[in-house]
Amino acid sequence: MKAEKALSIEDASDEDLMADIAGGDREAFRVLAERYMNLFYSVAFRMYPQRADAEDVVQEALLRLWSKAHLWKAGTGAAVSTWLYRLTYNLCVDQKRRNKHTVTDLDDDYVDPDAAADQRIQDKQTGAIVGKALQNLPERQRVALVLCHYQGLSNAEAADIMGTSVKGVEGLLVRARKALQAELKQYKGVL
Amino acid sequence: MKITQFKKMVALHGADVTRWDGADIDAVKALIRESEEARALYNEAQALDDALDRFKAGSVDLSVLDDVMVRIGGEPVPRSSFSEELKAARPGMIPDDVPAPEVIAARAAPRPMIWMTAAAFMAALVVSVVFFRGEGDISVQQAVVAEAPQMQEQETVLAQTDMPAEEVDRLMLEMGDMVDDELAAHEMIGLLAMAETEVPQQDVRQQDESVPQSEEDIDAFLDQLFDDAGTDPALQQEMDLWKLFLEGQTREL
Repeated sequence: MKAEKALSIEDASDEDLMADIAGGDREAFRVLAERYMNLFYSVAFRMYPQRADAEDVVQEALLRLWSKAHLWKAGTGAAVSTWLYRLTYNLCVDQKRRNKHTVTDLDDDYVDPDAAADQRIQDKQTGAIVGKALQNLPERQRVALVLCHYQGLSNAEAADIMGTSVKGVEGLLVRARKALQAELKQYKGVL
Repeated sequence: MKITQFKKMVALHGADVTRWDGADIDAVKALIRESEEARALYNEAQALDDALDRFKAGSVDLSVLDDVMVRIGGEPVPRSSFSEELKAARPGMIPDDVPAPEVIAARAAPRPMIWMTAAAFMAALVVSVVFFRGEGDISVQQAVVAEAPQMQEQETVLAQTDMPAEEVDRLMLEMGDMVDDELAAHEMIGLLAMAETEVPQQDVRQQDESVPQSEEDIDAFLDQLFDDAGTDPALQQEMDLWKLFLEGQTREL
């Protein structure tokens, strides 16, 4: 009986899990958290490439998922993932406001551990340069790029999360790419 | 596709044409082939995408979820964060199937029932050695067999008695066999210890219900064994020989 429940809860839809979480179901929370926590981290790390900061965002996002699940309304057409992205985005903005310091040193998470040694060194160098260039972008341009390029969301989804129009996201994306190209061209071998 | 539309798409979405809203991919490829300007813009966009993709995020530490589960009043996630920490600390050194700490602790914990089974097996081995040896005229209780390096010394002591030389030789051969049996028994214990980690304890009990399970059962079993030895004339003769041997050793000391 318990196994049957365990099997079914792992396969449950995001919407069903959200309803269960709103009712205080910790097991449903665990399943949904495991499903999305790397997504939270991926967004947070690319916004603020310090592992500790990014994990703080993930932890806070999970706590809010638990405490605010009842605010998500089923049947309104809003996807759970979009709601969770918005949660993470807001936390990243809050984190930026709390920590006014400029991030200069990056952690090594941008290196692919499966790559060969020389490739890893090259990736590390390129990753550090790209990470720093991303940090130099205005915040909203960076968010638009993270959501669309790294997370693969559509412009409409990104606009929904960021609370702006699709045209607004498109403008942010074009400016972000142009600024990155200009900055990264200074570094030999990056572009 | 017109070059103006191409420029807009490449500036907005980069080189991933699957993201270009409603664009005809064949038309895009044709334009890239034909227009040098389009080709240059596309290559620049591709280089930027490649550079962006080299900035990887990695994975979040799973202990974050454990902490959250504790904070919301739930149990930590039932997986081995221990393994994850080990892998993080020593990348490439820890296999993926490192068991959870509770599993390791359970393996390290003593399993008295398994060892009682092994002890009972040893007792059964003694019985077989005592009662079922080939000729049956000379047999020695394995529990008092000397270690192999001491055999030369035993032979010297036996030679000092009035026992015929052939009898001494035969006795020494018997004792050599006993040592071999004891080594075999030790090997069997080792195999049992290995099997202990593989076979669930319940299964062992189910396979052999006749084996004594409690300490009292084993004591009773061994008492019965030695009582029987007292009534066996062949064993009595053997005991007399050993008594002689021990007396010789005492004299030497």
